[in-house]
Amino acid sequence: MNRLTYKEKNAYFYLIPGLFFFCTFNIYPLVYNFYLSFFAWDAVSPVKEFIGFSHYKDMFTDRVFWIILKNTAIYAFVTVFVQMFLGIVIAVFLFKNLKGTNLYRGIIFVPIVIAPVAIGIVFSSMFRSFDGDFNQILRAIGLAGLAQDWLGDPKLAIYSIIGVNIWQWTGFSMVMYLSGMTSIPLEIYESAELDGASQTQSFISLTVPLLQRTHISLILLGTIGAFKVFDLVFILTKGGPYSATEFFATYIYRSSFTESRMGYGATLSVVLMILTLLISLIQIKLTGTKSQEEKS
Amino acid sequence: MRKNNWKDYLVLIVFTIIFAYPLYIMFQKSMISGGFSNYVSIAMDKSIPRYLLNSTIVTASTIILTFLTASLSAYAFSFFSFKGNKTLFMVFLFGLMVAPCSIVVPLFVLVKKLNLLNNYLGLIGPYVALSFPFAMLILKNYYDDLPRSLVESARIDGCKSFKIYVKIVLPLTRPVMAVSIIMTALTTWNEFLIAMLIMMKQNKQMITIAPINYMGQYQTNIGKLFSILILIALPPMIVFFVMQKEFVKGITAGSIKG
Repeated sequence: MNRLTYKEKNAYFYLIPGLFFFCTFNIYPLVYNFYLSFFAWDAVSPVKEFIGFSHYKDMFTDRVFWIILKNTAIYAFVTVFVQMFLGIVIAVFLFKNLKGTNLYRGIIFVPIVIAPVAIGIVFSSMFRSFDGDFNQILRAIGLAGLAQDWLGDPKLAIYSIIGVNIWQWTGFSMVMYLSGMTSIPLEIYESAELDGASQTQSFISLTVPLLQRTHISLILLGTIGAFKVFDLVFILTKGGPYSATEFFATYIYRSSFTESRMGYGATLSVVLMILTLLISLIQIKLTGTKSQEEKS
Repeated sequence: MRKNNWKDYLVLIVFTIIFAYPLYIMFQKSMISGGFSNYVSIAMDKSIPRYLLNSTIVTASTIILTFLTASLSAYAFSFFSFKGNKTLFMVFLFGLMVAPCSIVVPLFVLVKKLNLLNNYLGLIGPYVALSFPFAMLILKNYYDDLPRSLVESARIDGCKSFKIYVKIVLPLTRPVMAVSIIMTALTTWNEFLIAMLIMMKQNKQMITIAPINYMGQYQTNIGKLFSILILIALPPMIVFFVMQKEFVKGITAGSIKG
């Protein structure tokens, strides 16, 4: 874009306040992570012991590290696709602009603004196996056999957490799809209707492919989200039972602050950082080519 | 064509009820054994008002500092050409991708070294740094679209660039200011991990830590615990329902333009 800019020798002064905060509390910690990952340190003792790449070697033989990778992948995959599916379905119905649309949209979206800590505590009371709401409901409708130990069962716990995340974030995909749909010209649908396409047909063959940009954004954002998850897991399972729901953030927290292995926590942070950076680069690449397509 | 749409209503209402149900539970459980008096006893509690005050101080300071630093930087990136502006801008954008949990270990070490544990500044600093990239990005995108004619005549008259910022650019920022402030407030108010690590003294803790303390301290009274949850959730919910448009804009903006 041809934006007029001015030569200004004082330009740097305007950046100083931002750079101060950003470098001190963002860039410096990122760099310090690398440094710390080469040391054994308990956060208290005055000496840090240099141990080279030991932590990195330890990590690859750490059973929990592989659980984290697997959990992050499951979490990203399931949350992303379920949220996309629910989001697009709800968006299609909201797009019909029926009475009360603002209310429905508001209620489905509002979980996003609530602190995950609060949400986690609400759901952990609902998940309780003896008197939690979910099992009570199942018993009440005669499906007592389906009652579960939602957070205590090592196989099931991660899916319970995933369910909470889906509840909180479906409103996001919904809103993204809604804003994508407003940019689709209505004539396309009219001509499809003239050709005799049903509503379902035009949804599958027109709406879904035309929202490709939104799909890509949601996939990437959801994947990055899976690397960040902490609050919900911390409240619901603390990473247990038996590390079954351990994620990057919870394990970094546990290693560094519960087990006082600051260096190992830093090592995990470095890996986490590299992985998020890789995904972000993919994002820039994909959205970059997209905007070029638009220009041509 | 619109006549037979009861099925559409049914689908939407069922979805809305499913999504509203946990919110209803949160409210319903806050009424257990005491009803609204649970809220009163929380207001009278010796620590809860203190947590609220702490969260308010930290959130307000973070909002102001983030907005000022971000709009100054955005002004420079949007209006001036200078050496290294592209590179610096990319570095700031990189900050958008940093997950708080990936810097939490060194952040703790740093804040401890600076002697800022249990000090508001020890939280405000990291929070400003985390909110800054997004605020800067939406402000810069907005400044890029401002017509340059607004600034042109002032420059010809020999106005200093800082005066132009204060007198012309800043007043024009109002529409996007709401979006930037809302996003900063939301992340700061709801943040949990850094708040838990930096503020260990009880009288300095944030409201998001309150339910954890409460569960540990007393024979947990469900009604009171859930009243605290309502207290955490209500301010952002009210702002959301009052300013839905700005909220949705803010939450979707980073992903589309970033």
